[in-house]
Formats: sequence, structure tokens, C-alpha cells
Amino acid sequence: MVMTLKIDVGVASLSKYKEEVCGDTVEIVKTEQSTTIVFSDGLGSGIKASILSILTTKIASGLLKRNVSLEQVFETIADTLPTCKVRNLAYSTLSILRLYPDGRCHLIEYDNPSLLWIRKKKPLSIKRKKRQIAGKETMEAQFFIEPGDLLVMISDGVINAGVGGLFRLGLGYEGVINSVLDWAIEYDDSQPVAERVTDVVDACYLGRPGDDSTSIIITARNPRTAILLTGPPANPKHDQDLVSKFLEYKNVRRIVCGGATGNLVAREMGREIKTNLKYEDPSVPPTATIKGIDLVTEGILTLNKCLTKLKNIDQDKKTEPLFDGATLLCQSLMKADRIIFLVGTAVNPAHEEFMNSLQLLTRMEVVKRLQTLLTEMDKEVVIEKY
Amino acid sequence: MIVSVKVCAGTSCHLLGNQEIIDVLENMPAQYQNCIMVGFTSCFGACEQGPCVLVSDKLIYQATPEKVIQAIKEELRSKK
Repeated sequence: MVMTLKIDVGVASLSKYKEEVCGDTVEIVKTEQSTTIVFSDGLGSGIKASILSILTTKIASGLLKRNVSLEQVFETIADTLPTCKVRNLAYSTLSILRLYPDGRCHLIEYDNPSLLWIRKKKPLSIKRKKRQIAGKETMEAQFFIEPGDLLVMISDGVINAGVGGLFRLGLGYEGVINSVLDWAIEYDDSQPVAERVTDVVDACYLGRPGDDSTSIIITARNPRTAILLTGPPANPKHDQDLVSKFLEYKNVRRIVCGGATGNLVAREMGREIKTNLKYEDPSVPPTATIKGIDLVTEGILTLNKCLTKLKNIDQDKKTEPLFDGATLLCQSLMKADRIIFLVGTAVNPAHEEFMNSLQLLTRMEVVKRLQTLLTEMDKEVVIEKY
Repeated sequence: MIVSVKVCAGTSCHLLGNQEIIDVLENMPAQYQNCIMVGFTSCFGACEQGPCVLVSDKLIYQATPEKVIQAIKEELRSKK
């Protein structure tokens, strides 16, 4: 069977002290066939460096979206972008890493620090070959990654962090690997690890970064699947079939949304449902627990609130962790790469009156809107009606 | 002697005002605090008659704080 890896990319940047923009730019091009990361560090810092690196990555990503090969992309950029006549240097660096769902990776680097590859907490060496592309000496590599592997792409600002100050020679590759490993244990996702690495870099520079610094963390993992059951089936004779279907998937996160649905699942599984003793948020009924199910919440109100939270996910930067059903549901959906909604279509007459007066979306409508939102977030969503 | 009080936290009961009952139960006079054990339950399947509260084995439909307190008092008296 062909391995289908999920590639999770986290990016964090620091601007040089007293500069308002960062001279490093990262573009991620995702297609069904591959994920490509384009990274460029513009010469110098500030606006000039920023414009140069943006120009480089935009040209590259534009071409990559049109299925132009990595070599041709490199050639075009090398031919297009001039070099600084005073310093005889290219105006920007460039790294392009293309990752395929079967684990194959193709890397071309020009003037950036080397990509790091970590497997089971140990760095692996990447066999690179020198290659002349459009008169530039680039490094090229082809290799295969496995689930659990970590790739780290960094700008020279990260490697040199603290040079001449906290460290004589800067943070260095070893320091970067140690920072990544320290934080990768704590987080499942790449983004917080990338942010923590730039925190370390900022600390090495004693809060005054001497250069633009960017860390890109790329993790490869097996896709995460969540299965969400909400609503009893229209025909109660199908209760057992629906619960069997819900339980037949292996290695998935199981979620139940709905009071009656929770009772139905508990009954069919022969287990007890225990409703938690606390209203974490007065507008969201408490969650419950059923042994063997990862999350049990109330239905309509929680789903509607979850939809609102997902819509505002970029603005919602609360520092305190929340534990209400809608937040937990939101987190579960965000963590999944593939979500299967099993939607029972039985109508609860008592709910109908509220739905209109409180402008609540029906179960099916809210699930459809969640599908649209989650699909935009690059997740695969399947809805099955019962 | 402890009286179990289970408030339905399902959609309908939540919207029909179970919060008011919960608030009262959480702020019961000291003499009752040690005699009741308050919890939530998912759904009693009587959504049109909510909020529903189960006091020991007696299910109260269209519950109000007064009805629930009355039921608790009766339960405590009967168990004395």
C-alpha cells in the first residue's frame, strides 16, 4: 500500500532589532501531489531585504503552482534576479523543498543553512550533491522521510544567534537541534515548535536580534482521522447499525455530539454515560464521558458555538486554556486531517421552536458549514446521513 | 442521608432555564448543602417538558427552583 504522509509545516520569524519587517520570506505551495516549501532570505535587513525575498518566493511559488519543475524554477530565479555589484553576492538566498505523500523529498538549496533531518531524536545526514544551475552552485538532495521525522529549515540568523555575545560562535546547528528536540516532545504540531525555536533565538540575542531569523519546522505523520456522530438516526431500528459503524473505524478520535446521541451510544456499547459536574462556559452545556469515546458533548448548541469559534480562529488568541465542549470540539476538529461526520436525521420536535427564535442552525446545516470551513483548512471531510 | 439531584443538561433543558435551578442548588442554605448531591445528566428524553430534574427517583418536569426545593424537602422528610 502506498504510504500517505501528512506534512505539517510551522513557520516563525523574528525581525532584526529595530526593523519593522522581516527580510526572510516563506511560501508554502500545497497541491494534491505535493507540499512545497519555498524559503528565501533577502540580502541585508529591513524593507529592501523583505522585498527581495518576497520577490524570490513569489516567483518561485507562482511557477510551482503551474507545475514547473524545481530545476526550472531555480533557473528562472537565478536568471532573473541580479547580484549585488558591490559585494558580488546574490540578492537573496533560496531553498526549495518538495515533499510527496509517499515520503519522497527533493531539496535544492542555494546559500541557506543546510536543512536538518531528525529521526527518533537523532540527526540524520542528507546526502547532497553540488549542482550548477544557471551558473549558481546549488546543493541538491533526494531522500525519503518516514512518519515521525522532523525537518528543520532555518535562516542564518538562527545559526548565528548570540554570536559574540552569549555564545562565541552562535547557537549553531547543534543548539538548533537541541532546541527543536526539547520542544518537539511538548507539542504535537509544528507551529508551536517553530515559535519556541524563535523564542530561543530571541533569548540568545538577548531580545535584540542581530539578524532576521526564521525557523521552519516540518513534521511528517500519518493522517489523523476523527469520526463525529451527531443525532439519532431517523429510523430507531438503525441505532445499532449506526453505532457499529461509528465504532468500526480503528485509530480514530471518536466524538459524540448530542445528549440523546450520547445515551444511544452508551446504551449500544453497554456502558455508562457520566455528565461532567461543571459548566465551563454558561452558554455551552457540560461535556460527558463514555469509556472508549474521546469526547462527548451536547449537540446543537455546542456545534453552533464550535462553528463560530472555527470562523474566528485567527482572532481567538485567548491565553487561558478553555475546557467547554465547543472549544474541545473545535480543537479535536483542528487536529484532524480527515473528519467523518455521521449525521442522524431524526428531528427533535422540542428543538424546532428554539432553532428559529435563537437563530440556531439545524444539525445538518451546521455540519455542512463546518464541512466548508474545514475543507478550506485543507482537511478532508465526509458526511454520511442516517 | 444524601438526596441525589440530577439536572438535565441537554439542549432543551439548558435553553428552558436549567441554569436558574443550578444556581439555586449551588447556593442552598447550609443545612441542605450536606444533604444533597448535585449532578448533571445528558437527556431524560422529555425535551418538550423541560427543564427536567431527577430528585432521587422522582422526575420533575417543567422544573422550577421552587418545585425542586419542595421535592428535596419531601425526600428528606420521607427518609428521616
